[in-house]
Amino acid sequence: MFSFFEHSKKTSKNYSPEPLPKTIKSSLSDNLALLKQKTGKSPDIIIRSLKIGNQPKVKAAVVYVSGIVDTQTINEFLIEVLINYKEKPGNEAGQELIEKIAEEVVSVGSIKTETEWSSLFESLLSGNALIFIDGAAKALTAGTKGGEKRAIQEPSTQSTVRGSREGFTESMETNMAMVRRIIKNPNLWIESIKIGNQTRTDVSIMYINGSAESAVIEEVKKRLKKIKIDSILESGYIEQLIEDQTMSPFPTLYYTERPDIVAGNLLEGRVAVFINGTPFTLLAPAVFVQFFQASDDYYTRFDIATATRFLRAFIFLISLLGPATFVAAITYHHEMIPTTLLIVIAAQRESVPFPAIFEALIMEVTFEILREAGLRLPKAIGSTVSIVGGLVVGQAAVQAGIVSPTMLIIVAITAIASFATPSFAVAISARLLRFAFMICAASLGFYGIMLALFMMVAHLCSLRSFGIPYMAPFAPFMPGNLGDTLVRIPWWSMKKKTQLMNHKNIQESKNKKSQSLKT
Amino acid sequence: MKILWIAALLLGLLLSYAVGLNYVLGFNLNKSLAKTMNPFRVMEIAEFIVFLVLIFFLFLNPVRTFFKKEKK
Amino acid sequence: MEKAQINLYQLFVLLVLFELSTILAPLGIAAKQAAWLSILIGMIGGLVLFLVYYRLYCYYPDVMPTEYMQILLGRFLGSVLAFLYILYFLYLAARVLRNFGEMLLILAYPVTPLFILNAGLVVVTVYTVRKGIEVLARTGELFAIVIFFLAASSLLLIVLTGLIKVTNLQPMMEVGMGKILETAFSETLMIPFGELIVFTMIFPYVNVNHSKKLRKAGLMAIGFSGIVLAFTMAINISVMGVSIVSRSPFPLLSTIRSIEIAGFLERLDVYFMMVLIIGGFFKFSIILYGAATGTADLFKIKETSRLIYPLGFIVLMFSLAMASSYPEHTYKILHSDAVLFTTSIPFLVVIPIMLLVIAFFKNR
Repeated sequence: MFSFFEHSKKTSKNYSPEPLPKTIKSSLSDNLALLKQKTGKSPDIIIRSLKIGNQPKVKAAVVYVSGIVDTQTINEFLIEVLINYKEKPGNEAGQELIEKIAEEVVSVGSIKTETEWSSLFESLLSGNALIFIDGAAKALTAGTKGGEKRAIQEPSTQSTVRGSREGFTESMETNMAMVRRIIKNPNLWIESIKIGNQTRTDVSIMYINGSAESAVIEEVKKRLKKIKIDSILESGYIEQLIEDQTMSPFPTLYYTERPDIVAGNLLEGRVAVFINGTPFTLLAPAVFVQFFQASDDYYTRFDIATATRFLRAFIFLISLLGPATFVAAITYHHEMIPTTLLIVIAAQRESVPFPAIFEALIMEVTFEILREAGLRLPKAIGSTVSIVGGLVVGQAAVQAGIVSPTMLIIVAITAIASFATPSFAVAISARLLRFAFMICAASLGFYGIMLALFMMVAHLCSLRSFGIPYMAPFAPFMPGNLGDTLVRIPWWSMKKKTQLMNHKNIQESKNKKSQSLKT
Repeated sequence: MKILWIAALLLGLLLSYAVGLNYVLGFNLNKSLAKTMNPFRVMEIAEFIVFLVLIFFLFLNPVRTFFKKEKK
Repeated sequence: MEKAQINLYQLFVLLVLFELSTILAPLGIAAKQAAWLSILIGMIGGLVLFLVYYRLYCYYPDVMPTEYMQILLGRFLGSVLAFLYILYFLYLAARVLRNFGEMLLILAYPVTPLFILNAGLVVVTVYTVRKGIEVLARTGELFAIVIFFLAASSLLLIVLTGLIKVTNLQPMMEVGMGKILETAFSETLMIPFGELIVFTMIFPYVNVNHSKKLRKAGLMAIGFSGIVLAFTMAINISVMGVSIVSRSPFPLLSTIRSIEIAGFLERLDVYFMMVLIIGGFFKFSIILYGAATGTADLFKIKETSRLIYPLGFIVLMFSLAMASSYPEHTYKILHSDAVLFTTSIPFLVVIPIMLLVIAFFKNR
């Protein structure tokens, strides 16, 4: 619509000053010169020149980026063996020598011959070592990825009472290995692409062939391939770029940093998207109930798990509607509060100068400020904030007569409830919507809350995640799949893992019909 | 625009039905017209603002598509 | 027609929600203690009417009524009739909206303008209906669960508190069979059951491989909701006695208000309000959807969704203009012959039967 937006879009591409030549030359010095020029002589690009063979000696070079390679491998299995290579090259040209080196000399796991500069650079910058030999219009890339990594630690989000203590790290290979260690099935397939013009981030999708539906896999791949962006720094980028609907407060992809959750979801037929550089892995498609499930539910006994899940649904409702309901009851529906309670509340509110909605908004905003402040501070200062917030603001606000104690209780319960939702992604959307609900409650009471609730539910019902209705299996109602939703039936009665992720079972098909009316 | 014309036609017919019904029930024509228009003559400020907002949204879509066509 | 499909269970849910929205009104109270009987008789009439609508659907399972009217009556006459039906649906929607707003006004919002209350429902309904029949059906499925829990818990509470006095239901035939039948056919047949004609606009969207299943779903839904309505009315009368019920605008509200357990669980008006809003929302949105999809079909408009807001707006206007007060409104609905003979009887009974006869001879 507005033309000036379009102009600015076009300028953001083409960061490379001049294009790379396509293939490498046979002269070593030319190649190295180009390498130096393209990398701007950055000091972390190490070029180790050496001479190999015997009579005549052939010039060669090993190139790698320090810090992202395993130095020990390079020293022992590349440089040392190359220097010690004393065979007579004879009149072989570099072309044949390089093959011989790849086959007989270098003892590194993965080795490849490349001729194109673009793939050489990509390989170099992702931690491989390059071997150039004078006279050969080819180069070898040896797999020497390494460097400093964070060790596997307990995940900081989604911690559980029971279950594995492993959490994902920033390295994609490690993460995928952790999942492979759980599912020892050759059908666990991985496909990899690079996204981001500048960052060239490795992104892999993982699924169980046969279990995941091919339509979903194709859709994930299609959406990933469509991404055109300069940088991918975290899985959040990918999530926002491939989700079904951007204009929604609710997440349509699930993210986790626990390998057991990923494994469980893969077995249910979902697709995992691993992004290098972040411990958070995406899972698609996601349904709404999934955000109320924690991995503990599957490890504890079913009755406890079911009760906990109902508690969580209740918690979500409190964190969404708590202050709104209170405001509505105070402002419009006195008759619905029991008389004795009403008298107590009225006595407290006597000295409060604000209407209930202002009181609620003040406290909610204060709480959000405290939360945001506590989030970014170092732990030592964080406790100060909580003392200032809890004691000074809470206690003093009541004594000063700005808010009533009841309101303080409501806000506190809401705050705790919003932290008790297992998924942060849904908890945060509830926090956002809470304000909308409060305003609706202030303007039309319970009617306003109900209207807003209808709007929210209609919106939720209209969402789809990679073709799966978001509110499944409640809407569309699939009685066969209710075993692992708000309730979790015992393992022995769960014949198969839920088949929710299969289009065949959903709504529009005809074979579903006959069964659905019997209920 | 076509949609708005249809809506106007439907509204006109519905309102004339309301007037006609009042007439049949025994009011004279002036009285029935007045009865039908009553709710719109007395409006509080809040009501009026909501009313204006709704009318604004009624015309938003046709105007937007009109400009889009113009551009093409 | 938008490209959408709903399944039979969703149709069942929508039918039940549509019917149950009248649960709040003093349905068939003119028959005194036999109100529940008049509801059941009305239900049987409703089943017959549904079969009429269903037969018409069987003749033309893939097209909208607005289109098969043109096939049956010729292009001009059929279009006029279809147009009249759209007007009738809009009138019906306005009536539902007006009832809804007035109920809220009496129940909890004595000083809020009716316009605001109605506008709130219209905005939310338009938002939902714009997303299509599928989303509406799914929303219905979710709220059906809510309604089920509300109904179960309130029934439990009523029984637990021992409010039911069966003697209140006697003498059953105080008004005589004639009056019962009259109430059944002039009131209960039309108001919750005959209004199902709106669903003829939704039948083409139902994904069904065998049309008999649709009949089964429809009959089950009507039977189920008729029994629930009759049962509710019987409970109302047995809890409060017929004289209070006949004077109360919302007998169910009075029944729910009389629940009191342990001095704390009392005045459960929220229950009533939730039922009111859920019922009003679905009834209104289904009728609005029917009107919009019919208009789109008749006037050859490709995007139904763009019609919905203008139609919602005119319904809002008309809901205010149709009567100047609530008593006038109820009078016009229930007791005025002019309304009965210009809207309910021809549109719900006469024309469908006529169409069915024509269709029968045309397809012989």
